[in-house]
Amino acid sequence: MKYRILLFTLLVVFCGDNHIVQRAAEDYFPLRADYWWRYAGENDTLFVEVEPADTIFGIEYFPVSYNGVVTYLAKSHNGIAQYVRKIYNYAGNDHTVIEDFIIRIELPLIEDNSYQYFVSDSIYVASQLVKAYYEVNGIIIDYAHDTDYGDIYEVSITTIESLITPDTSLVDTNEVTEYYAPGVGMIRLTDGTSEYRLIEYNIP
Amino acid sequence: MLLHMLLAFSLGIEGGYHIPAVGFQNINTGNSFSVYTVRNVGFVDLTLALKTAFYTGDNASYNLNATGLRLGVQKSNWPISPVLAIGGDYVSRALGQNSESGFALAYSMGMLLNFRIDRLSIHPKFYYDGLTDMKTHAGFIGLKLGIGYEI
Repeated sequence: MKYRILLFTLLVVFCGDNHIVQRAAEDYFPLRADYWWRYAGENDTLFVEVEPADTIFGIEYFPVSYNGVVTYLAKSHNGIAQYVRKIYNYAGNDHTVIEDFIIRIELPLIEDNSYQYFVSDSIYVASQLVKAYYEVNGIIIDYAHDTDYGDIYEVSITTIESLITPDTSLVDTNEVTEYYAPGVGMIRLTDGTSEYRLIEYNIP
Repeated sequence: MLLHMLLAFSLGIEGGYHIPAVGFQNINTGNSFSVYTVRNVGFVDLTLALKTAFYTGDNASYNLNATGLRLGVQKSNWPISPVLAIGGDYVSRALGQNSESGFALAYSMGMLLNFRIDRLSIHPKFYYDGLTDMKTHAGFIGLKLGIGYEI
């Protein structure tokens, strides 16, 4: 009988050592209206809040406010998609060059998975060709166990956006590293110059 | 008693369908297949099964596989029998070329219908198949059809 108890105990301990079920079954991106997260940086705070869902192009998305700056995020089968709109202003009028959803984080999260998505388009404005490009390069660097949050994934995301006209070429590259916890969402954010850590959140 | 003696040892296969019931938000459906033996031990029949299940994801590049051993109990001479089993699964999940794996405690609970034709037994089974790593519980509703032969 002692051996059976020992065997069962070993089975339980062994099976609980690697949290594969947690990583496979939990939601790392809870997106619902009124969910919010507050992060503390060195000198300031970042408040992220999900607003009620709306629809663009037949896709349901959630406006997500980052200290008042709104990003539109949609959850699809393949990942968390972000609404991207690139505008060229000519003679006081805005001309939309790109308007689309692009995958920002590919799902499900799997260690070492790297991905690339891009959208590009061009239009003629006053007989001049205007090109726009938006690219997302991501890699799920690793996961690590945290006693408070469980298995946390580290995700590195680099975005490259450009607007090219016959006269100018504007290219902007942005790199961030985000950490996601099961059932909570993003718990840490770094962009090379600043770092924010989750201090409180509301996910009923 | 005579029936119990006849059921001293039997071999069988089972195949069926799984749908996610708890957790597993990125999984569509799956297929499960197992090979099992049954041996009568006193009042109950002990089952030992080698089981594998393959699940496809909402993301077409994603899949999850769970393979393991289950030790269970049932009553092979009851027309309707409860089924309980426990064991361990090796779970692997992959997205394209990248994968993760680990071990999980697995358990099943449900019921089966026993139909017998001489030494042949046919049993539809309806059950919940759970996986846990002691942090998270998740599982599937399963429907299987099994065919066994008494040796």
